[in-house]
Amino acid sequence: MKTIVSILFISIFSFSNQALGALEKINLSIWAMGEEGKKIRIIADQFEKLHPSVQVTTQAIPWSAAHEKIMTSVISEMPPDICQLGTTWMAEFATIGALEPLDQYLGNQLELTENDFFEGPWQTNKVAGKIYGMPWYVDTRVLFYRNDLLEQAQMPLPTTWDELYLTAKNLKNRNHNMSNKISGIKLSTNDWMEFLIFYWQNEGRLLNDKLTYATIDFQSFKETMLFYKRFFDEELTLKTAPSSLELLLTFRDGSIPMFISGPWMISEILNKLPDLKGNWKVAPLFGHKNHKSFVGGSNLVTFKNSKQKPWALRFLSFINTPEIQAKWYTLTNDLPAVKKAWDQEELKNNWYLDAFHKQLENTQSPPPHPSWEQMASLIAKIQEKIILNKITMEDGHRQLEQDINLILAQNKSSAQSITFKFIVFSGFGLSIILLLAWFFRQTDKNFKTQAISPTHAVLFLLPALVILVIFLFIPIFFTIIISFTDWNIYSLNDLTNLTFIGFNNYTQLLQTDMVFWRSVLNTIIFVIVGVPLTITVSLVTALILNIGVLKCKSLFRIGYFIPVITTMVVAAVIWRWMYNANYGSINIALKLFGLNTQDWLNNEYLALPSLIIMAVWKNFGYSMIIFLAGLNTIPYSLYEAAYMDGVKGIHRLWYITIPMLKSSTLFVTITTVIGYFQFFAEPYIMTEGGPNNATNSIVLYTYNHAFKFYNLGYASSISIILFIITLLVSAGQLWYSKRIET
Amino acid sequence: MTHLTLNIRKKSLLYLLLLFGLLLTLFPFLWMISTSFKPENEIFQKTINLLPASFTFEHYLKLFKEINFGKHFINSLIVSLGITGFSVVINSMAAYAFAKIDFPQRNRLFLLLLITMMVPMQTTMIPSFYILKKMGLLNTFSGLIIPAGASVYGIFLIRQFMFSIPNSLIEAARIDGCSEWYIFWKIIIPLSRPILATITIFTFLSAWNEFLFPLIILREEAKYTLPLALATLNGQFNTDWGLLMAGSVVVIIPVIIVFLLVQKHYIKGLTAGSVKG
Repeated sequence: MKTIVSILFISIFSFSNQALGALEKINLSIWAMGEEGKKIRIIADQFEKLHPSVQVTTQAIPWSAAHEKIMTSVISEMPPDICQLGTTWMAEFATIGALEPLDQYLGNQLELTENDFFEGPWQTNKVAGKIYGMPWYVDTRVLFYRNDLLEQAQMPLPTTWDELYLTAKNLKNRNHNMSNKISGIKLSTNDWMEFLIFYWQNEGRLLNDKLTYATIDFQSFKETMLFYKRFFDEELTLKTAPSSLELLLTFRDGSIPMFISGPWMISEILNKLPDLKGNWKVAPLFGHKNHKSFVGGSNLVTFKNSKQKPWALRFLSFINTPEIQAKWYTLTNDLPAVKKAWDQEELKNNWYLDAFHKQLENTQSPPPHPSWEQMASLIAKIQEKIILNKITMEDGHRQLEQDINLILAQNKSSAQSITFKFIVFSGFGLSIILLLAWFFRQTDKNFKTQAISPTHAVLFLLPALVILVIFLFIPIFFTIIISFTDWNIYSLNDLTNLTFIGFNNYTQLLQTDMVFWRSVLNTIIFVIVGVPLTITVSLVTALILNIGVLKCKSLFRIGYFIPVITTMVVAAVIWRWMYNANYGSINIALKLFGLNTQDWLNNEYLALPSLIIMAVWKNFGYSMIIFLAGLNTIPYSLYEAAYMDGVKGIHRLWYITIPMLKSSTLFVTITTVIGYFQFFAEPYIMTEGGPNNATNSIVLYTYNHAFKFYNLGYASSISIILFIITLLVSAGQLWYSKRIET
Repeated sequence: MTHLTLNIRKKSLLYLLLLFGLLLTLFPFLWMISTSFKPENEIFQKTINLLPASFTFEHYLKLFKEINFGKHFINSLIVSLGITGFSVVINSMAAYAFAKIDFPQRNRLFLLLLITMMVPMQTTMIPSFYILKKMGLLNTFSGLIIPAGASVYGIFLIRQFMFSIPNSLIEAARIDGCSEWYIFWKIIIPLSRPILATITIFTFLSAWNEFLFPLIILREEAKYTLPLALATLNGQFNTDWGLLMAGSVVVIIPVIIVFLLVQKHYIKGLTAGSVKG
């Protein structure tokens, strides 16, 4: 007994000692994305060894939601000490006012200066004349090509635009025995990055130096666009860009012999297409007036709210020493941004690195404007419209300039006094209370005073109501208020900058925002077609399972429920493959029956129906389960009685089963309608709203405005409109079902 | 019983139809399983082969090497079971009040709840985040469990079902002097088994798969749930398909187990004969 006590005592003591030790250490928190977030632990361990007083905590953030994660941490004033930021995100977070400017530390606390880095990557850290981060690793785009096919077509490696065109043309026209369409090069109708590379090579500019207005020179825009569009018009490239998986496949079989991509593609090809060895190469990009390429990658930043700035700076210096950068390369294949790192042993004598090294001397990055994401999506949109001949060159150019200027005009609005805001805020509170009072205005006629006291009801309801009020009603209340403000990137970090702008968001939305109206239309089509389809399929399946099938019932039940369980990402992979234009199973089946094949997801008219079918597949299992539970409440005696009365077959279904399922059906219909109005996951993962907004939905549009463009005020007003539409439809539904009853 | 069964020809046709449907719904699932056992070079084929030419466990081994699987699995289990248990109790209590207790403004209050379902959670997420921060619940499992404790969807579903429980049964119990508590636990809950099984599956499923909310609430990798940990394995531009599929298989298994555990309650429901119309 004594020993146990003493062991316990010692272990508690040593534990608390450890805890104390941990408390004494300086804690440096680092966030990095995906693979980098995992591998940085190794660098952090090395740093800890050098500085035993520091404990580094690293956190890997999934790429798919990194933006959302960092954004909420900034809003809540709880950022990490060091964070990885994509180069195109620098301007956003610098403008929010979250990042610590590093100019004052350069050359002293930060043992690095501008000259240590390649120019292009360095420039990505500069926002409004200040340096906000350190380049960490770089990504620049080069040309990947099949040297065997180029030889076969007797074409040299293209170095100019004319040569590029000729090579692509000859590659397209070469002899082949492939069943699928072949092309000369891969270009995209809606990839702004690819278009910008050409535009920059033609000395094109997007914005003036102060980033206050668009300066898109029509002549160079037109020249570039004509050249770019020619590849599509002459079918030297496919109008539908392949997914990353398809790109690898087509590169292997040679149907896409050239494409522009970044360093990550090297390890992809090496690992996944080992049989292609010797038949592919990389080269710096061709050129026109210059040989520029796009530069991206990631920088490391520290935040104003960081409590460990000196240590953060020390870590930044440490990670950018040539030795660590070279080590980082061996860990991750990320290309170093530090020039000297390229002289290290690890990066020498590497046949594919040369192209990147050369290209790095000649790069450009997008203008460092906080709303760049929004502009980029505009460029992609116009690019697509011009290529698909939806709009003329002149109109496209005019519209692009106009829309970009509209974004640039958005700025810090005049400050409103706190008292004014308080009055507006309480006004909102008061009107909500009045609204609620009106809602519950008269005594309930249905309520019959009975023996049971209503206090029981309160007890049963209380836990649910408390949670709903705190986590649903109050957030909704704030969403309503936010929808009347200009809460955007300029007030994100400092709510005192928030301005009430009345109905401005709503008028802009309803009067001028065509994308919004398109997404409303798409959502309504999705509901009108998708809801009846889903309910019919699920009801029929449930009925068959319930009446006709006695054996293997649970196998069928779980089988049909499997799509609901299957993660959206996996479902998306397989459905994209099934819808693939070249070798998707749907088109193969159509060919068997001698029918025309379609490019399902890239056709403006077919994309939405394709997503509807997928949504029905994914969701019908939900309602089926509810119908099955409902069918179980129908007493068997009812059927027996009906049988005695001579009711058989389909009549039994019609007169007993369906009416008895009334409450399940009402539930399924209402929740499916509400759920389908919030159409989001399918377009978010499958099409990103494209082609040409044909699958954009209201919630996807809201999401993009909130988390991509930081227009939280605008996003809130979109969701309030969605709320009103859903409310009207559901009210109509309830009214209709009541009318049928009486 | 005989009069409700179909003849052999009709029946085999029905089974054929059901099997065809089953193939359609299961296909992606089976493909996912087979891909998770395929070596890398086999994944990159133009045709989809359901049977791998050679089996490999490399993706699973890599998965268990790259992430601390046990820890994230337990985190997920705590959060999902916490949410499921908590919310099934709270929601069925509220549903009982809405379905079987008369109180003033009952229907209007319920309508108000229904209306709140129409606001997408994507917009209420940031205010909710603020509230959790003020309550000091960031980076805690409670911060994930408590907000999910009540859901209008759940209340609505259970309430609809409870309507089918005859009032006479409850009134008889009240006359016998049973307390509302007793009626709820001893009569209502046992009779609601099919729907509680349903809501258990739904709640567990959505809690288990939830991604964005846990990501912004949890601020330590050690607390990550399984979907978060798996998502960190994806690159910015490239995806390791074999690893992704292995991860997806592993994530789905617990949901299937829960489904199999609770599904027997569909069969034992009201049909067991305790209540007749």
